Amino acid sequence: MTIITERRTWTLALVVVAFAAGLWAAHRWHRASSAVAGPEFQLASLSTSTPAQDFTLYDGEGRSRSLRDFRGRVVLMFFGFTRCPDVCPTELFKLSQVKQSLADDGARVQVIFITLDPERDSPALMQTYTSAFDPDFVGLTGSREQIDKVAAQYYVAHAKAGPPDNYVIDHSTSTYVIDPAGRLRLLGRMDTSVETFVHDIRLLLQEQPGGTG
Amino acid sequence: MRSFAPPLACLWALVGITAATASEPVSTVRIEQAWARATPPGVNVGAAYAVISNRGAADRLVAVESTLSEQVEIHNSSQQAGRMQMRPVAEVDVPAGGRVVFEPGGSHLMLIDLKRPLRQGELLSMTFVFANAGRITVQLPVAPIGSTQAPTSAHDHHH
Repeated sequence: MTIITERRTWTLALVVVAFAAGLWAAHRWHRASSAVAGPEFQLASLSTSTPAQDFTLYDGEGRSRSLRDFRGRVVLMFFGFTRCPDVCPTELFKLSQVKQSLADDGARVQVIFITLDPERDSPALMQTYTSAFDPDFVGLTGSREQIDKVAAQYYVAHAKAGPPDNYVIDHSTSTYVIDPAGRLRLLGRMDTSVETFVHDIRLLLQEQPGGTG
Repeated sequence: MRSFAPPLACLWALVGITAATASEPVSTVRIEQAWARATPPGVNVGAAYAVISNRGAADRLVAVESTLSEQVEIHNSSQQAGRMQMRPVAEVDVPAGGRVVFEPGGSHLMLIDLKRPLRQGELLSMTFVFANAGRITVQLPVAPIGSTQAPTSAHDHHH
């Protein structure tokens, strides 16, 4: 009886020690692996290494503007139209909150609103419209051909719907996030929170120039 | 004692009127959390939101009117093939004991041909017309441009 009890005790002790050692090893391995992993983006990451497709459109003062003009800043680009009653004001207001939440870093963020309705959205109207959200926002318009080309470059689906004198435009609602090196990096959505945008934009601003893609 | 009679009569009359009003059938449809959004200058469309709750029998919202716009359209929004699509609908069923929600990014009331921009802090008068409940007029507080929720209070000043 004594021998059996003693053997049992030793076996039990061995199991306990082995288990504890396993836990410790797992813990160490986990810590090491999370230490080497880089910061993680919360938005859908595109990890592209080539510059985003460039374009030339016109700003509120009729000056031609290209995407490359905004290198050095994180660009948040959204497509819509000024007679959009719900979605566009919602998203642009959110982007103005993102910029505000970034405080000083907000100066390194450029919001660009590109119209899908160039027939009704003149440069002056785009200027008035974007200024209502933030005076630093840039609203871009162009000819129908130019707009269609940019939309195609970014796979923006859009179509007019309703009567000719009072149509609306169905359109995709992604916000394109372009890093300071001009690469398309992340895609935001209508349901992306201000906090998520702020988190990911801070990561992009912290990256070393010429760093990872 | 005689001198007290006329005021007493008035009092009884008042109670009578109040009682009569209270005993009339009260509409079971309510407009709650109604608000509109300020609009940028130069754009003559806007959006308003509300929750319609119905504690009674099924009803239908057949029209919406506003003093500041030529037209109000009831819009359904949906994601179709990657596009946000909004379409006017003629009427909306308000189920018995149910709710209809108009909110940013979803169904909304589109104000068309605004007579002037909607300004943050003002009140917009809108009338909801129901098949059974009739006309219900509410005053909607106007929230900042693009805001996704009703203004928290009338005393909430932002600069």
